[in-house]
Amino acid sequence: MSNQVFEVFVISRRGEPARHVGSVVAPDSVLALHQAKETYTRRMECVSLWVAPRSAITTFTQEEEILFKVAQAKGYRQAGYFTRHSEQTADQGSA
Amino acid sequence: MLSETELQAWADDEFVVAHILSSHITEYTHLEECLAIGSFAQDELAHARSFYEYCGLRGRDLDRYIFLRTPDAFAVTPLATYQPGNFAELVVKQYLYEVLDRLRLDTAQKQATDALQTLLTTMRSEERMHYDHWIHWIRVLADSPARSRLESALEKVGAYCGLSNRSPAIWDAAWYQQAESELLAAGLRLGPPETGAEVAWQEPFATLIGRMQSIFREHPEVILG
Amino acid sequence: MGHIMISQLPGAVESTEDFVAWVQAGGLVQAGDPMPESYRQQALRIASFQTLAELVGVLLFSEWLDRVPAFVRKQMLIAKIQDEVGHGHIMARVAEDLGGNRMAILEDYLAGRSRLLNVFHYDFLVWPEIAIGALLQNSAAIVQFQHLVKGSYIPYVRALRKILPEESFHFHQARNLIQTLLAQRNSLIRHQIEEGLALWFPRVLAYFGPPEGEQFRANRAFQFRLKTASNEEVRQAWLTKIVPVLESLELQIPDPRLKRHDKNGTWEYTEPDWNEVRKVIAGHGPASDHRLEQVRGIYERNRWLTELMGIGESNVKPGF
Repeated sequence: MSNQVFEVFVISRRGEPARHVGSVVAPDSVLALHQAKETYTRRMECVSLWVAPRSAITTFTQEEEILFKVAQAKGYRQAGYFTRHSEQTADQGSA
Repeated sequence: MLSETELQAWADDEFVVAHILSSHITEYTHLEECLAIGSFAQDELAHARSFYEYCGLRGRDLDRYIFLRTPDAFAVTPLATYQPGNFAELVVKQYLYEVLDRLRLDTAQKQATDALQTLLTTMRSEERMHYDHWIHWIRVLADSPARSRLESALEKVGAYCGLSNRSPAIWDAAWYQQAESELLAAGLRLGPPETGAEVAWQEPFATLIGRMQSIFREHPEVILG
Repeated sequence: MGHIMISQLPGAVESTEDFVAWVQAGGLVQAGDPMPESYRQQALRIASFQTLAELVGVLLFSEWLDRVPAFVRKQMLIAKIQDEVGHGHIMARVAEDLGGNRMAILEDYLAGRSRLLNVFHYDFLVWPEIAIGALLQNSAAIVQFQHLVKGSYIPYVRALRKILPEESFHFHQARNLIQTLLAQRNSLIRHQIEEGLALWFPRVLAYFGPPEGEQFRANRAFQFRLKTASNEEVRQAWLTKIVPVLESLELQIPDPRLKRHDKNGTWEYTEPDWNEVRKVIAGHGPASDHRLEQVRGIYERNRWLTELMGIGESNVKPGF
């Protein structure tokens, strides 16, 4: 029997996404669930709760986080792009 | 029909269980478990209050009822008064108490009027969570190097299972059998139930109540909280 | 030295001086970010100190739990004690994610390697004293956290953001208890409250630590923006908060020198005896030994479970 860190996610109201609130250290997921409820939802509105072992979570390193900067080259994924694009091609056409 | 006497006896049990459980909130370092214990203690205390208020005891009247009765006037089940010496004993006590409470809830919900049903429904869902929590700990400890501590606790605390002070005797047999068979399924042995004389619970209980009432009794005519 | 931009992440800065400049310019550090070892150690020291304060400070109150002289007040005190243990838990998680652990925090205290705040070296001797003691301690903690919450280490800041509303709730609870007690018009109870105020006001005044002078800006914790205000600044903020509250409760503040010249001016007060405070913190307070005993008892009784679960080991990996 030994501990793991479990990350805790709370769903405040039906239909809302699960939100990370912190972590608990517990021997297994059942106890983690019970304990997380009494650790994180004593005073908050909450309809449900998830716990997941920290070791099960995969993420980027800090160096890799640079990938999150929206590159200029992929501007076509944003709605405002099309207005800018039309304006530019119109300028080019009349030049 | 569940009589007022039976309801008040149940309330006394909930109150005493909560009172003792709350002293374990500061038994670190499994802090997460301490927080769960804190919530369970508040749940039990709220159940007690609901029962007392249902019987017309509220506010100042309730305070006087709690803080001025002599220990022998508390209609408690001896198990409720047990003061666990360690976490293993706490797990066993709470588990056994939840088995008893489920029996009481089953009986009560069959007999209760509408007003009481709502109260009992809330109680049932909270007690269900408590039960799941404590039986889970029993399994966790049983599979751990601390199994022998659990076994000692089962031997010691099991003795209280046959002693319903004022509850219907029908619950005694059912209570012990229910707990015994559940534990057997987990490969564990529950200590044999004792009859009234063998387990000396009155004196420690009297000391506990005396201390609990001590400040109130210093100024019984004044509101101190 | 290159120009440091806030948009750069802490890992991008290469020296501790650059890191300090980055943090001073408003940079915030997330859990798991690369950081100078000295920053990690300072953040860990602060989180550990607060974990100890929450877990041990609560014992002044939990001692009274079995004697609370009213049903509903008993429910309230259980909730408060649970909250404080919860604060200790949140802070322990912050410390653990920085590489510390909750067992070591208690062990350091038991071995005399770490010190407890002055206010926890005393006990409440009578029931009404709890009410006034709680009011003063709570208000002091609130004001201090309101300053610390502006710091650079995000997990610590988030923890304080959870703690603050609960402390506010406790403050109102304490105030309500004082009002209830005073409303009884019982001369002994009133006297006990006034005596409690006379005892606790100077203790809490000293709780913020001695005035530091301008050199506090050179402290690592301040350079790293883990602390953002001087002891005196926080003490002044506390006086601004608590004096009107005590006046509204019609309680006489037991410091003849306490005054300020205008509404926004600096408070004058009787300087605490800092030698005495140092002695108390070193373990010579009236309840210093009792507190150690309580914690040692808790630690020893539960050691088997702790060891079984590996709570003290470093298999609780830092990060995230």
